[in-house]
Amino acid sequence: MWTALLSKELRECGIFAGLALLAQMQLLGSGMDLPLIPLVSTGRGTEIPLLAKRAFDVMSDREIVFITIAIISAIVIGLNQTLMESWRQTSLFLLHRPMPRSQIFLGKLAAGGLILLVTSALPLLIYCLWAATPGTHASPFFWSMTEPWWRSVVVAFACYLGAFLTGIRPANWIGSRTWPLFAVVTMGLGLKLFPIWTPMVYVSSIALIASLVISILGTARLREYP
Amino acid sequence: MSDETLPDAIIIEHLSKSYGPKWVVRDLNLKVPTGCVYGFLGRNGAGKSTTIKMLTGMTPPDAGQVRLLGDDISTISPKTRSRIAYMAEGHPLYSWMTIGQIVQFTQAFYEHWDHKLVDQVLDHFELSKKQKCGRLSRGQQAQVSLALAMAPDPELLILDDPTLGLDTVVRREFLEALIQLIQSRGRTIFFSSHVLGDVERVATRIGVMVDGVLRVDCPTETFRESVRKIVVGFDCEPPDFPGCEGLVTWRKVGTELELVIVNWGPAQQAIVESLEPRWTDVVDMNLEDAFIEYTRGSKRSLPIFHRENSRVDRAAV
Repeated sequence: MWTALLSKELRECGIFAGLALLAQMQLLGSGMDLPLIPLVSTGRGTEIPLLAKRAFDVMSDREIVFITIAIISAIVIGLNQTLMESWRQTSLFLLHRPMPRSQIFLGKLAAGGLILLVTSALPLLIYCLWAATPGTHASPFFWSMTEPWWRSVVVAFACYLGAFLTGIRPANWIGSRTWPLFAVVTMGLGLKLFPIWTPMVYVSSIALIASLVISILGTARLREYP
Repeated sequence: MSDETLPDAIIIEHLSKSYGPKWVVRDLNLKVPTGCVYGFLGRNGAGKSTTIKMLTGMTPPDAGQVRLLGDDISTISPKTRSRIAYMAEGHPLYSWMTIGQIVQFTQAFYEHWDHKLVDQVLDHFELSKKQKCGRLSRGQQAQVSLALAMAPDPELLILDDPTLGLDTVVRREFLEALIQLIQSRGRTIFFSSHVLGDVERVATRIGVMVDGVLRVDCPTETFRESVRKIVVGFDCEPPDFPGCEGLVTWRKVGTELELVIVNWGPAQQAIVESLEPRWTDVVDMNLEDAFIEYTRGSKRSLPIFHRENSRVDRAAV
């Protein structure tokens, strides 16, 4: 049943996942001088992979676009997974299946997480491996340079959970419904902008994600399905 | 149909739900015996769908308890849920899936799945597994939902207005298939409907909700035979009716007085005769007429049909 649930979720988010993957491939591909669409690529130029151009910049331009795509796609996928079920009333069909409600929602979250891994983490991994490969560019590389980028993936995942919670919350849109999403985006970006992630920041990020998952499962258990 | 030795399939105790100050369902108590086909009736906004959603765990109640096949709905195990089929109003299906895909998807959740039955039902309704759910008519969606509901061989079926929006022919076909499946396997069915003819054809017992309160819970025949329309003729304008036990409503129509009375008997007859009419006619009603007359009466003073012996009481709401 897990396979069936995951396949359904992946299929339903396929279009958004595909678009996000293409956007990240274009962005990171042009960082490797291998863009998907060369016409709209400015190329790598003198950019040092994974580093900002100026010493005091928090993020490079490429990283800003990367995190923007990651967060937008995460929000779209989180809302799509929840609102579509609600609008089509298929939640009544799905939630009557003989599977605990918490597991159904964990299945949905697992599918969303998997999509984010494929659309953000996988292109980033390829980009990092390219940057780590000797002879690909004439600039220094240390794996520690990739850490801020991985933080972006963590922040995107938190935004996904915030969007998911917003999608299932029984509240008015013009009211408190979008609060989790706004709160998580603000907190996530706040954490992301910490210049160095101390263990405390890591713990805070994990606590944010855990509290969102608990809120989602609690809301899913107690809410009314239309 | 029902077996007295078996436990009740549905037990509802003091179930209540309100939205703001309005009680949608109020102190609902109901037991549906195993093997019974229970028609759940009420006008729009009477609380039928909310009750069904509380029954299936889709809406948490404010108070009260629901037990399906012995399990409390708030902690129902997946194993018990697999013995219960639920067809939601409007038959929601994933529009992007083909019939074959939705069968495969649903099947993955069940240990027991009757492939032969699914194929038979789809074949009976001339549905191809390659058809997309999003392109099916409402009637065809209902037919697919029926196939999906029956395939795990459920002991209890909960159907929320299954024939809503279907044309007469499709509705008849759907009901015939449903009756056939019920008769062959002796299942408990709890269904709501607006189409009284359907209920009359299928249900052995009915419940009528009026403004969130269960006013009737008795065998279908008992309800139909108990609600009578009495037409009383006069030479001139009829007098006001003084009231009697079991009175649902009364109105003047020209020189006639029309009364709707539950359990028409000598006591009520004596009151009518005291008005010295020229003639009195007792009209039998079908379920639809009985339901309409019963539910359009003054709601606060409707006589109640009790489960045990169908006696009539004044409601004190």
